[in-house]
Amino acid sequence: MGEVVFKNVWKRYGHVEAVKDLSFVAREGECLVILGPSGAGKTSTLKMIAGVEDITAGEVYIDGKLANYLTPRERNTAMVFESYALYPHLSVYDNLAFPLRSPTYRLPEDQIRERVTRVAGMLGMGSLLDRAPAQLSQGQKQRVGLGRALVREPSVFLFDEPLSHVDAKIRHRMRMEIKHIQQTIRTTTIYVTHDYMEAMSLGDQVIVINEGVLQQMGPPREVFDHPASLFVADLIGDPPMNFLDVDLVAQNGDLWFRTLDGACELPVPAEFKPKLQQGDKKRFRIGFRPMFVSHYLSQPEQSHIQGTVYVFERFETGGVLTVAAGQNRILASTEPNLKVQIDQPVWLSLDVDRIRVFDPESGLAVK
Amino acid sequence: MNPAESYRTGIPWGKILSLILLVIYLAFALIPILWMVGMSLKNPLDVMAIPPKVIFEPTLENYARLFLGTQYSQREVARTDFPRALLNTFIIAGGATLLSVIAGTLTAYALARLRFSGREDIAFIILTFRFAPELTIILPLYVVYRTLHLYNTYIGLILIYQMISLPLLVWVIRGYFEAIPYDSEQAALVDGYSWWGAFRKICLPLAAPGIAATSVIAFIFCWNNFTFGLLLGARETQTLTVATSGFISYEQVLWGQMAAASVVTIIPVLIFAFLVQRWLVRGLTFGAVKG
Amino acid sequence: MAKIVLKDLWKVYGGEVEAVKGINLTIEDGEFFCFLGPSGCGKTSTMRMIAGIEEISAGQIYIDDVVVNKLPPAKRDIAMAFETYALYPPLTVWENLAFPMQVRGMPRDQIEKEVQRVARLLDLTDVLDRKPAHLSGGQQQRVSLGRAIARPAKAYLFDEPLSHVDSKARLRMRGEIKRLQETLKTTCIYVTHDQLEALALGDRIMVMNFGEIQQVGTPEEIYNQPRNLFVADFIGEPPFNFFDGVILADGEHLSFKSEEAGFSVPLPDHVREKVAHKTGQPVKLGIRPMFISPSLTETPDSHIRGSVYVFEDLGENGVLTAEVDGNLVRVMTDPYFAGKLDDPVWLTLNTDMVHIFDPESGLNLLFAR
Repeated sequence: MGEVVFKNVWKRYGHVEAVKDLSFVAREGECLVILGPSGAGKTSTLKMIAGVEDITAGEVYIDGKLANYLTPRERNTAMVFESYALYPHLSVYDNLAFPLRSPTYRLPEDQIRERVTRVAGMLGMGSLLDRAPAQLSQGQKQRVGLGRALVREPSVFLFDEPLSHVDAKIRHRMRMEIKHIQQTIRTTTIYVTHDYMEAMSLGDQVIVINEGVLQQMGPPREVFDHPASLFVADLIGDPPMNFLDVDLVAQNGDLWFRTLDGACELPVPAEFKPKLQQGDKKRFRIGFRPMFVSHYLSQPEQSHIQGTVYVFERFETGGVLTVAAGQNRILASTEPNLKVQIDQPVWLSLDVDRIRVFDPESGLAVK
Repeated sequence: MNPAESYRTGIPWGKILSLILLVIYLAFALIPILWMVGMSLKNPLDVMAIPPKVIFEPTLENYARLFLGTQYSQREVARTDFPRALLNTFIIAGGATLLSVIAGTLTAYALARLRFSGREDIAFIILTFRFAPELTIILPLYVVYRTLHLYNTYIGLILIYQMISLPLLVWVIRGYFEAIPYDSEQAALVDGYSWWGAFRKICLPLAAPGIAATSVIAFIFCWNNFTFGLLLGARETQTLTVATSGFISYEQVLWGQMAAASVVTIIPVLIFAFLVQRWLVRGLTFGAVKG
Repeated sequence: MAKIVLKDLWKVYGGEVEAVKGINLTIEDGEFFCFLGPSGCGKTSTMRMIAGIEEISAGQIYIDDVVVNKLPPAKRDIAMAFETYALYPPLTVWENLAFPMQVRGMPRDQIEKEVQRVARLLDLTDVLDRKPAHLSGGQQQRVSLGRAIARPAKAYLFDEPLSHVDSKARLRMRGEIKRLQETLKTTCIYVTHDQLEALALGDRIMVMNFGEIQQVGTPEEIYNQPRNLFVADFIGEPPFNFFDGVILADGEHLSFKSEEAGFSVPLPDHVREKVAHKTGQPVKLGIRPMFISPSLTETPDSHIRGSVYVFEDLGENGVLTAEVDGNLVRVMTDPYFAGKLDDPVWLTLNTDMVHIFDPESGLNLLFAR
């Protein structure tokens, strides 16, 4: 019940290919997050599941049935739109009741009242029921859009960037609430966003999309720890991953990565040595997260990179130190109260096992 | 950013000047109408008096002649069946407006939402119907109508009146539909409605103020039309505008009756205009308030 | 560089709306100073009064000890970057950047040098000959920033300059702005509603709400020593957790007891002297998510028992939301916390880091005088 399958789906708007050969399975009860920058084809994907956009090629299955030619009402999905898509001429109560009054449901009014008040209470909207959408704040409108999807019992929930226009404080709160609801109700959910934190928090599985093409699919932890391409590695994580262009050199009987300007040398992680040794590629791009970079203000015995302080920014629970090493800028996560001066010398050490290696031409990760 | 307040002291010259100009303009606009009303209540001698009489003894004779059909002067030539003309105009203008609303609303939706090649060209062509001077097409149209036996029929006139009302309705209502977020219609589809259900429950209620206001304006334009009624209709389908012109004959002009006919012609339109005024403001400002 | 002083500054719109209510502030020469607060709190009005594009309803503004109330913006020698960019549409990027300097009659080769410097800094070298209409939103914002910083001025004013920039570019530009300021040592005023930005960039921050100053201090002070409930709640994500309860005395030792949540916490010495006078009265206890430790098994020093409402693994860290008697408590943890929905969980508060607030005045009793 509620499984969604995409098989080689394409979407074209005239000459523009918004979705290219996309295949995936969203299992029953699972929350699948589709993550990608704006314009990556995420909204088109969702609308093809809902049935308000045509499928140019390929097959979409909902609940095991081929859905390509079903009208939206036959697919039994509920959608929360990025723009909320509220009905401007109806009160909040009527907005929530609208789907239940449709020919597909035709519930009696007392049942409708019961469901609407229950959902409104769950979302903290009890006092707003007779207001018009124009009188609501962004956060309130978003909750009405959410409530309208929750009053039904669809096979699939579709969320289209529901939190993108909401203030940061409310956004984090709503993200947490959505996760709680999804885990309680356990209806198959497909959630589209450009915010990687939402993907990490909400997804049982994450699909990363760029320009309509699937980049990686997997549980959030895996996508975070083992990004399949430079694009994925750069998209996920705050502060973002550091990247260095390096040459593979053999020295003293061991393999090293040397930066192009020759300024730094880093050991090759054990897991990559066999593969890299055999291959004939010499130029790579390596990535490592700021949380795996340690800094020293006085020269330690051993360090990997030496540079100077470019700038330090503190956050509440930590800080980010940007270090200039030659032409490179490297970010390191630090404690919040670091006191440094611009251009002060600083030494960095990496957790070597956490280095990721990418092929600079294809952008793909080396396994 | 609000500029800092400035305080006004002394005589508001700007306001006084605008008031004077407004009064002058009102006088310019209203005096002919008031004079006409006066004329409709004067007997024939008072009507022709020089200098023009402002104080006079009012009489309802003109209105009586209008509705009861007797002539005032023995040498009357033109005959008009005024009550019939009143009825005809209601039927024709009303029928034309109704047809335009139905066809125009659906056309407007198609032009607003559907994508097809030539869309903007079709929309523009519909608009150009309004531009064309009626007299340039009236001759061939007369021939066509005669051939099709549409001359002097209600249907014929209702059809040709579309040229007046349809472009207006299509263009304005298209704007209203475009202002409705497409997402809301899609949401209705996902919520379990067919396309027609979504149209009825979402698009129509939101466009209703605009449709109402525009259809009344379209009705007024149809009501006022002269050319089509004159050249494509005859006595049975005579409209008010044509009937009123019938008081100008070869030998004399029946001023009093003509004035009375004009007053009767204006009254329904005035009533509608007052009704529309409230709708108009709501309809025009709807676009500013989106849910 | 300049010292800026605001004395009893008021801004009233239309005779009724009090946007800024009598604030007093000193911004030291060379400081990166942030105005922080929610929309409508008065921070933008204040900055515009300093710039001279908004009339001052009452009070004085001093730049370098000179009253500038009557001076037009051009004479105050400040530069401003607008939230809405406010670029000159018919001019190219190069001309936009050069404009303020050309107006002041700087020599041509110096203008060229400054424009190139700024263009390199803000990654605009490729688009110098384009017009604003052909730039992306992010590029337009960078041009707006560049125009402000291209010419030397007494102070730079930034009005939410990064609000419409996408998050990757925003991180980079934030770092660049900070570095620029530290290099030039020019007085900077930066308006934002994003507390993360203010904490990252500011030497000192003024937190405003409803036209009044809530607190002025360094990021550390604002974060660790919030003066009232508003500041405590506004700063930090996830936000402060608050519990209602009373202070109980047991001889020398004071503790906080929450009836609803059913727990009791001993209060450390440094807190004791400040709140002793509130014994028996209702107070609010506040503690940051990072100072609570969760455990899936009961430990002897745990204070609160609840159940897992939601756990979010965010990559670098994790956020646990626990349900405690109908209220939600947020806890920051490492990302590998293993709790699942509805699992029982025990929370231990780091009592050294608690704050006690007076529920009526909202003041933090630990720092009230």
